[in-house]
This record gives sequence, C-alpha cells and structure tokens, in this order.
Amino acid sequence: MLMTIAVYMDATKNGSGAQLGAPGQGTSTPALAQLPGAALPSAGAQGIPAVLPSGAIPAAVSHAAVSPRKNAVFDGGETNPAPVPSVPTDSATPSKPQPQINLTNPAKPAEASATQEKPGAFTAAMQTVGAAVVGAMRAVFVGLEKVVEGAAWVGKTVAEKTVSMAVELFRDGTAFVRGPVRDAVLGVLSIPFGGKILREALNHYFVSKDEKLKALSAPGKKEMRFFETDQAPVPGKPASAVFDIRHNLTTTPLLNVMPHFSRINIAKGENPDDLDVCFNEAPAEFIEKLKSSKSLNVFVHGFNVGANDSLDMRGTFADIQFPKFQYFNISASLTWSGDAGNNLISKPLFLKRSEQVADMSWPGVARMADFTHGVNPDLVINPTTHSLGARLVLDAAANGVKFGTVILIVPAVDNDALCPGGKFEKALQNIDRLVVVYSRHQEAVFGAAYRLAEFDRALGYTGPAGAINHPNLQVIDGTDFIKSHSDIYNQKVIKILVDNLRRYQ
Amino acid sequence: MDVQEAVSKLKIGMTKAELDKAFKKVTLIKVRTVNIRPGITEEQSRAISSSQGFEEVHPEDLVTKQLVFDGNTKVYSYLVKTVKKFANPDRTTYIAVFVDQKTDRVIGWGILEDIMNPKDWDEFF
Repeated sequence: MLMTIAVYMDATKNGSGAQLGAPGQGTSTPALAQLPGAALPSAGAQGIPAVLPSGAIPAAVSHAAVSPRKNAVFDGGETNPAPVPSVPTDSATPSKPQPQINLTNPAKPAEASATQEKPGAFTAAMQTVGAAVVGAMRAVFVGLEKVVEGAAWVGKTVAEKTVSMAVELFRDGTAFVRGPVRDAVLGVLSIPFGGKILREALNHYFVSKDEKLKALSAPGKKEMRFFETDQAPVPGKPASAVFDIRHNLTTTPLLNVMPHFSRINIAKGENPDDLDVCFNEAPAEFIEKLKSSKSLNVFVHGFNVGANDSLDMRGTFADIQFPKFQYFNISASLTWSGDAGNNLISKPLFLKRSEQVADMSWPGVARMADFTHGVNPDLVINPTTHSLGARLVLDAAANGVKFGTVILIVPAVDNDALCPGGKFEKALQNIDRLVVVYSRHQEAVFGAAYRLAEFDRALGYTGPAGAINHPNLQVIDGTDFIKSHSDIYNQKVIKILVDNLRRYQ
Repeated sequence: MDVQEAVSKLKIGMTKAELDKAFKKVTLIKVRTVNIRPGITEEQSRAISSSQGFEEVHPEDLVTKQLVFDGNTKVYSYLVKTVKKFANPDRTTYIAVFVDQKTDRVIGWGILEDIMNPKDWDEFF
C-alpha cells in the first residue's frame, strides 16, 4: 500500500529541498540529498507534486518535507554513517522516471524502519549529542532570527517616527510642540530649520452670529471677526472686550540661530491689521456702553504671554483692583503675539523676535482705534502697557493713532526712544498725557535679557536717557515699590493707574 | 499636595478644627473676610469676588449667589502650586475655603489661579 506525500517546492527553495533528504535512508532518497537544487527541479519549479518511492523516506524526511522550514536538516537526528550510494539524476533528462516516496500506509512504520540497521551504543550516544547540538543551533538561529526581526522593527519604527516628527515640526511648528522635552528638542530644531508658530486660540469664545456686527467692520478692509463668550455675565462687573491681533507666524530657516538674526514673518493670507473682537457680554451691550463712554481703558501685555494668560492683566486691574477704588469704566484687553519665542531656549533669548512682532503688529492697534472711533468718534483710548506692549502703542502713535493717557509700566523700549531723534519721538505728538514708570529692580529682564538683545538700556530700567519734549509727561521712579519686572499689580501701581485714568471719566 | 488631593479632604459641613487637621501640611497664605468693600455696593463687591480667577467652585453658585456679605464668612486660602514665568508674574494656584463663623462649618471652596502676589491681597475677599 502506498501513501503519496505531495512535496510542493518553490523553485527558490530547491536548496532546502535538497537538504531534506540529506539524512535520509534507503535506495533512492539519499540520492536526492546529494543533488542540491536539482533533486526535484521540474516538480518544484512547476508546483507539481514530486512522488517518491514507497518506503524510501525516513521519518526525518517526512517531517522535514511537511515542515516549511528551510533548515529542516536540524530536525534530523537520524544519521547513518554507512556510505550512501549515489544515484545520478539528470534534471536535463525529464524522460527519466522521477523518484517516488511511498507512504500510502502510515500505519506500517515498521516497514520503513525495517530497512535501517539498529544503531550501536556509540552511535546512539552520537545521535543524542548530535540532536542536542542541532537543537541548540536551531534555538540559536531562531533566536537570531527574532533578534533580527526585532531590530528591523525598532529601526522601522524609529525611522517612521523621526520622519513623522520632522514632517509635523516643519508643518506645524509650536502646535506640535507639547511637553517640556518635546518642546526643548523640537524647538531647538526649529531654530536652524524654521517653522510655524501657530496663533493660540482664546478659550470660552465662539463666533458671533449677530449679522449687525458686520456693519462695524471698516469698509475696504478685510472683514473683522466677532466672538461672544460662553461665560455667564456677572452683575456689577464693568463691560469689557478683547481685541485680538494675534497672527500665525513663520520663522526663517538658518536665520534663527542667534537672537540678532531671528527673522520672523506674518503667515501668508494674513494682514498686519487683522482684528478679532471678543465680547465679554452681549455684543449690543458692549457697543452701547462704548457709545456712552468717554474713554476706553486698553491693557496691553508684554513679552512671553500666551493668548489666554494675556487676559489676566485687564481682569486683575479693571475687574478686581480698580473697583476697590470705586473706579469703574469699560475696558479691553489687547492680545498680540508677544510669545513668539517658540521653545525653551528662544523664550528667554528671543526677545528680539517678539520685538519684531510688536513692530509688525501696530496696524492691528490702529484698526482697533478705527473700530472704537467708528462706534464713538469722541471716545478717548487710554492704553496701559507692560514691558514690550509699549512698542505697539508707541508705534501706533508714531503712525498717527491718537491716544489720551498712555501709561507705560516698565517699558521695554530703548531709554532714548522718546528723546529727540529717538525711534518713537513722533509718537509724542499723538499722546495727550504720558506716564512712564520705571524701576531699577529688574536685573534678569532688563539688566541681562534686554541688554543682550538690544545692546542698550531699557526705558523701564533707567528712565529716560535725556529730555523728552512733551507738555504733559510724568516719569515715576518705581524702584521702591516695583521689586521685579513682573511686580506690577501692587497697590502703588494700581493707585497711579487709577489716578491717571480717572481724568477722562 | 496637589489640588485634587487637597480637595478630596474637604467636606461641606466639616468644622474649622477638622479643616485645620486635614490641611495641616498645606501652606495657609491668607485669611480674608467676605464683606462689602468700602464705598461700593454688595453687587459690586460680589462682582470683584467673582472676578478672581476661579477655576472651579463648589457649590457652583457659592460666590455668585450663596455667599452672604455680612462679615461672618471667612476665607482661608491655601497655596497649592506656584508656576514661574519669565518676565511675568508667577501664577499661583490656591484653594479658598469658606467657613461660616457662626456655625463653624465649611460652606464651600473654590480653586483659584491668580497672578496677584498674595502680599498684595487686601483683607476683603
């Protein structure tokens, strides 16, 4: 009785096919073993089952034959030291009968084993040792295979992650940068390679559906956007709004390595005078208050302040502190991209970059003035600025925007900027009253950072370097009560603000 | 102690002594009184209190409605976290616990984020 094993062999695996028979016994199978790659060429190549003579295949061969492993030879444990007669096989002569394996009756293994000689003790020992060696080698090879597969996976994953990170970095800039480690690594990469600094959105505001507001947009300019808040109104709180002139920014590759080469641009599709207005109560209510008010207090934050944090300045002064002095007036935050240092290194170093943004952003301040004067032509705008926020207001004033009282708290402009021939000298003619508060207690920001970025002294650190030609000027040395650059919410500063801002009530 | 851990120790109705025990390891930075500020109305005083940077209030309408401005409620503020920011004021997170002096019970609390230095706070909440 015969049982036929179908041995499917791929042409590329002929070598393994040759190995299959290596430890084989009998008359025909060993011959196959000696013809690597040629044992079953036609059958393997064409996917035709090779048929071997019955009883000629040993257990090892049958096991190997059904196993797909190339190194099936390691499964052997059957070695026969007896010389094996070679049977010449010519693959080029297909007319010759192909060898056949007869295994039609697996229930009779004794028939096959009967052809084998019984091994002696030495042979048995050798077989055991051989099996152990082969097993060990197999385990090693399997292990190696796993190691190689693992290394390939790690390499592939790392490569994919690196590529995706690089792509996102260049595409997304800071929006992708999250977390201090990523922030540090990717931020540093963005300095030489450039990137985008995306505009941070304000929380708790949604686009207003009030169609009447569109009429407030100045004709001929890009339409303003209006937002309403999802926060419940608080009775007794003065009316307020947020003027948002933030931009998406792009940094120039290779020019961002040093603070003095920190080029930065407003992203394509945006204009310097783009303006969003976010109302903190019903829009109509704020508009009505604006119409009936004599003045509007605008608070302009400084360097390194995010969008949502930028609202704190107005909230602290106008909502919490001023009412304690019985001073209530409508107010607004002006939020601008003063946090253009987009990584841990650039935040302290790239003051220069934020200065550029301030210089680019003044048209937004002018648009804000146009908007408010469109509602109430007689409205007096009183800006209070901290640090770098002074540049926006002074730039706007130098370009013709009229202001009432301008209060510059520790301004980050050169100490000769308002003096004759200074950068902002022209601004003085458009400011009704100017108050400058400076303090010598600002070593980190003005003593170091500003000095390194500007190679000059700040007005907020030393006071004016010379005479300022303004009829209504007050310069206050706040060294006694402003103990650091950020110490601007103390009672004395609040009193200075209240006293000066009341003039227009 | 972080905010969640601190809040988990609070219960409405607990006594001041229980509050002291629960917050033994938390820094008390200021005690203020809920009162009408001189020269302004109760509504305006409440507006000032509401404007302080509340992240969360429990019960929700404690400051906007429930709080009585009669001088009998004290606010114990505990500092939880301070975040420094270059060239800007520190951001402090603190828990303000409201205690009714008459009943000696905690009536609520709020988690606040503030840029004001506690040394600049006045005695009114």
